[in-house]
Amino acid sequence: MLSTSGLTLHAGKKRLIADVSLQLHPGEVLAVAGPNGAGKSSLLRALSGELTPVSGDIRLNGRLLADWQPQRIARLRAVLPQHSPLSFRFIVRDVVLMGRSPHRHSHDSGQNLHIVEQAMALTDTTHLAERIYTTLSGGERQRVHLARVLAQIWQASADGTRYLLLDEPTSALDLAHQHAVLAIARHFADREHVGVLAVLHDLNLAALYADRMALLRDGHLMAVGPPEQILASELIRQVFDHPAEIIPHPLYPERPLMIAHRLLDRQ
Amino acid sequence: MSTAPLIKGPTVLWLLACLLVLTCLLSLGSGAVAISPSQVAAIIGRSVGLSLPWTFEPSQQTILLSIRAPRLLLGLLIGAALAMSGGAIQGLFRNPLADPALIGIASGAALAAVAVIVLQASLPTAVTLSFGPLLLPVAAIGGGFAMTWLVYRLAGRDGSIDVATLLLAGIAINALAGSVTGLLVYIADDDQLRSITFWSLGSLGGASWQTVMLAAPFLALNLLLLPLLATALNALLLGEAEAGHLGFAVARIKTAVVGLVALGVGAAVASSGIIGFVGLVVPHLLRLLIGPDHRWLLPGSALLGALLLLGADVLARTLAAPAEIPIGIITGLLGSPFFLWLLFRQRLMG
Repeated sequence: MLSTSGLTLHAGKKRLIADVSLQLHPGEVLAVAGPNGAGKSSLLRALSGELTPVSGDIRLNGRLLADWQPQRIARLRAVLPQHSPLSFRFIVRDVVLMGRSPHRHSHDSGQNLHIVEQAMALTDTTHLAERIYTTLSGGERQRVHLARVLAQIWQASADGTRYLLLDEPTSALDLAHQHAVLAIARHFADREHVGVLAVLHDLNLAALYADRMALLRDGHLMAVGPPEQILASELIRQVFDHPAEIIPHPLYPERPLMIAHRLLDRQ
Repeated sequence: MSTAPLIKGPTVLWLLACLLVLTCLLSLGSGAVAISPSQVAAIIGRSVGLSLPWTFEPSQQTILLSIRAPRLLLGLLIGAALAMSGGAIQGLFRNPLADPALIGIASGAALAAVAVIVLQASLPTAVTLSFGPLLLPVAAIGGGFAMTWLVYRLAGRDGSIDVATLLLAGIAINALAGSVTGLLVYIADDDQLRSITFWSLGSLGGASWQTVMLAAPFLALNLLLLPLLATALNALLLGEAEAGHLGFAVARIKTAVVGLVALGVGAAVASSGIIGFVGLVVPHLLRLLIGPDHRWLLPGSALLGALLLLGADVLARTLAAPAEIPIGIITGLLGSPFFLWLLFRQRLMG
């Protein structure tokens, strides 16, 4: 389990996250949503060890985050960033291969390359393998980085459950690829028992694929639970300051579907 | 060019190694007294106890062994270390325009070296005695390290590097080092003045076995250890946070890169002054050929850097023979148009 208890984060004097306790279980997809500036990315950066908490602690498989060796934790936890500053002309396969760098001493390079090919096939990037990364579109780059982080935690580890942290993984993607990415997240959770945390803006997309959803606002955890509890019109209005109706999804009645009001109609 | 480069890294390394051997022969053979490649082989054979059929004059043997050989070795090591350091610092700063001379490392090292030359008499004797001939290289390395760290701190913001600040900080530091050097020149005597001019122009003319022995350990450390950081430098190109997620100890790696680069550039400056643009041009050319992967780029840069510097040294010795042009002038003349071309190209490509 990857868990926070009483987590509080500051940037200078500004409070980013206030007293958040949240658990990410093996084999679940947890979607984190909330308005802009709610602290979603900060939470993810704390879970990935980039930000140090002011108070509270973060444990990965029972051990404090700070007590893990960098290379060992990298074999358990992969992080997909919103943007990468990569501006050098690597070919795509080499970018994906970088995901294998935590395993570069313990595995033969043939196996690493094999995993890279599989990760590219899964993310629909095989046809880009020989292309130069900097010539790709935003959506293609995002899928290449997804392949990279999948390759990083591709195999089970003796240190326990693996985790995948995705920061807005669908922001640059078209409809089909958005669903493909979440299907991949589901696949890793169901088949590999990976714990997946994804920051998502599209509540309907989250409700279709996530086991649980968490809503953040002003650094506070407002609610966490299965989609049918979270997509409730009163809660959505509270968190997002916007009115919405909830209906059952016409194809998957157990999943809720949110229909937002037009702002024009709001008196 | 939106697909993989045509030439593979290993192929280029072999090609460069062969070319480097030829350039070494050319460098050993050219100068006021000509020595043919077969004579070079015979002289080297003689000194290791082999008897080869080609004949040579005793004067040729003396020139080769006590003048050209140390000069060749020094040029080889310095060219390799400058180019590899350039490649590494460009990776660290995630910018292909970073260059040890451009961002102030070399002038920091030179400033420290000049300060030692001028102020040597007023330094505590305990200091001069305990360092001995190592005082100059150690000071240069320290100066280089301090400047790199300063520039890095100035240009770094939230884990990313602001390129404009990087280059501006380099300009400011070069200007500062320039004026302090000017001040030292003002109070220097004639002998010191000659050494200072030599340092600011860059030359392999002072090469002797003693300078080689003094600089070689530092340069060798730089050349042997930097390639070990190649995968880490690759990961750093993804961003510092991303490199951390991949399990690299980012803070330690950054310190190691800065330290090793300062070691190489400092030792190079202490023995041959500021030789600009090698660290900028060489890794850049190689990236165009084999791509940015540091596992090939760093060793390739070392080979091409050595090749380029030895070539420039042959030009420096023969263009105005019997006089000698400082090699820093040659690399500057070749390098600055290249740098301008790079700037244009970056603007055109956005």
